[in-house]
Amino acid sequence: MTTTTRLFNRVIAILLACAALPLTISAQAPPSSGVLPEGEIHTRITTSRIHRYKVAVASMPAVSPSLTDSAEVLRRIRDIVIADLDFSLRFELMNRRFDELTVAALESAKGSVDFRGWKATGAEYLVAGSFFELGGKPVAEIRVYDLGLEDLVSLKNYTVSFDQWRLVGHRISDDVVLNVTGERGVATTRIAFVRDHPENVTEVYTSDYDGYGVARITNENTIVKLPSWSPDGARLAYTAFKNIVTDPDLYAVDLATRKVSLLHAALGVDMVAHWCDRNGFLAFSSGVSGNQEIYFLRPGETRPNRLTFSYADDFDPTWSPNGEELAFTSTRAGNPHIFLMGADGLNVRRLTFESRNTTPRWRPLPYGDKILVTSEIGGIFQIAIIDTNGDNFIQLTTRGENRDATWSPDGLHIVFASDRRGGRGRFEVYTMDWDGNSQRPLNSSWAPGKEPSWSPYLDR
Amino acid sequence: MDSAAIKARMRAEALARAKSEINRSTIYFDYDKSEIRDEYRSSLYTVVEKMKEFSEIRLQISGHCDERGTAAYNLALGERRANAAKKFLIDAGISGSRIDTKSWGEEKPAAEGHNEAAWAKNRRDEFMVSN
Repeated sequence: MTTTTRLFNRVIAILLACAALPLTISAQAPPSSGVLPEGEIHTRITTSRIHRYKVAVASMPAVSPSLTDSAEVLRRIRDIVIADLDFSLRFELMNRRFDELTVAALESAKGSVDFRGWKATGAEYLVAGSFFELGGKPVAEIRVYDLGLEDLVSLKNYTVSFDQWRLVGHRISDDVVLNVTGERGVATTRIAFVRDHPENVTEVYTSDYDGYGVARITNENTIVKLPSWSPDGARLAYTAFKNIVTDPDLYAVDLATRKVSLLHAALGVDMVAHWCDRNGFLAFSSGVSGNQEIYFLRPGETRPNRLTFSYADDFDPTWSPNGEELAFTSTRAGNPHIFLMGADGLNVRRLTFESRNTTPRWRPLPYGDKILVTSEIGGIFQIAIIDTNGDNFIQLTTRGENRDATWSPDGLHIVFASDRRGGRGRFEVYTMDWDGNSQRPLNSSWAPGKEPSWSPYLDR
Repeated sequence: MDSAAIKARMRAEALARAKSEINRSTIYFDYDKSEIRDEYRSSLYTVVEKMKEFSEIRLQISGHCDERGTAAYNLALGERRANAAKKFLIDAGISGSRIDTKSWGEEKPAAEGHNEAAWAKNRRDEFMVSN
């Protein structure tokens, strides 16, 4: 790209920023730009090993003098980008290997990128940018460079609104992930969870994936449990004890309007709604037949289709990513264990045999060969992962009780509830990598939360 | 007071006693189990007796769990415990139409602790005359 083209792009970018909508001027995904041989792309998708691109994040100075007052917030936006890229598991953050003086030195050559200097840090990609004022608002101009090709991968402007400044950092990060790896990032996703109120009331809340931006969603003033996202991220299904006389039933709340609708109500407990990403079928369990059995509703249907027929409890359904199978918990063998079946209820087979196992959650594509479970190990419940053929059972948590785990939409992260910090029965929400690394609470100080559910990709 | 009025008053008092006896008949379960333990058969038979004596009584059975295990599993287990007591009453001759069941899962512990003594008190069915 010539300097003239770059300047032209920048002018266009500034003009487009007036629309207050971030627009990508140039977005080349590197897989098509010849950085990776085809064979390596194939490996990245079919195995659990994730290629980590080496990336450096330059400082993002505020270039308009009028932005001096907001310098602190703008600096923190860069911190969010760095934290998000670190969390994504798709990058190796070279910033962890050098100090900010190095960053400053590399940026001394004003007006052009010191490709050779940045490359010497070991980085393959550089995220650089600056903040300037446009129409009274700060705008972040973010450039991503391929240091090997010495060329711009993407350039995009983001209008910063001060009540949503964290979201700007998350958006920048997700765009970097997309433009470098060709995959979607999870920095703009949210996590739903249940929080205890006094007087036996629980309500559904959501927060950003990193614990900030907590919002209360339900106002049921009763016990509300087990939130679960619709595939478009617009609704949350949950089980609520709406009426003291009747038993818990399934409802959904529209996140934009907060309007609550009934999903399914029958005699007995109706619970654990799980929408299939592929076809929108809603699987759940109901006690209407005298014990818990699994049913599903097609979109628009009100009469459920029954999938399991056993004298024992069958519940906790989770769709396989392709919608062709379900995993579920059943007590048909005595203790609860995980079973699989086809979407027609046929071809039932048992997945777990030891101890007690509940709450299966099928890993999203491209890693649809693993299932998360909550397993009783040494008298306490822990999160574990198991292959869909029953091999490779791996315990992921050890401290305190850990349960109710779900996947991030990219299948690389897990959110779960743990009482390791609060003490027995005092749960809060944690995240970890898919292999059990980097276990950390959503909030730095103790904050109650349980039954978490990770959103699908959201357009925010 | 005529004898019919006295009889009616005595019956009302007996009904009130029956209701309070039923409401006190909490039964307890083993960990992860929904089978009725032998020691609670007599208290269930007392419920049967009172429900036979007073055909107007309607009953709600609520099933509860200790805090161990996942949320969904405990809702299912609480339902199984409530249904186990309901089945006992039906087998003993009470019409199922007089009995409602409700699972509270782990939501309403009777004892607050986090040890076996508390858990044992929380794995239970409670009985409540609903009329």
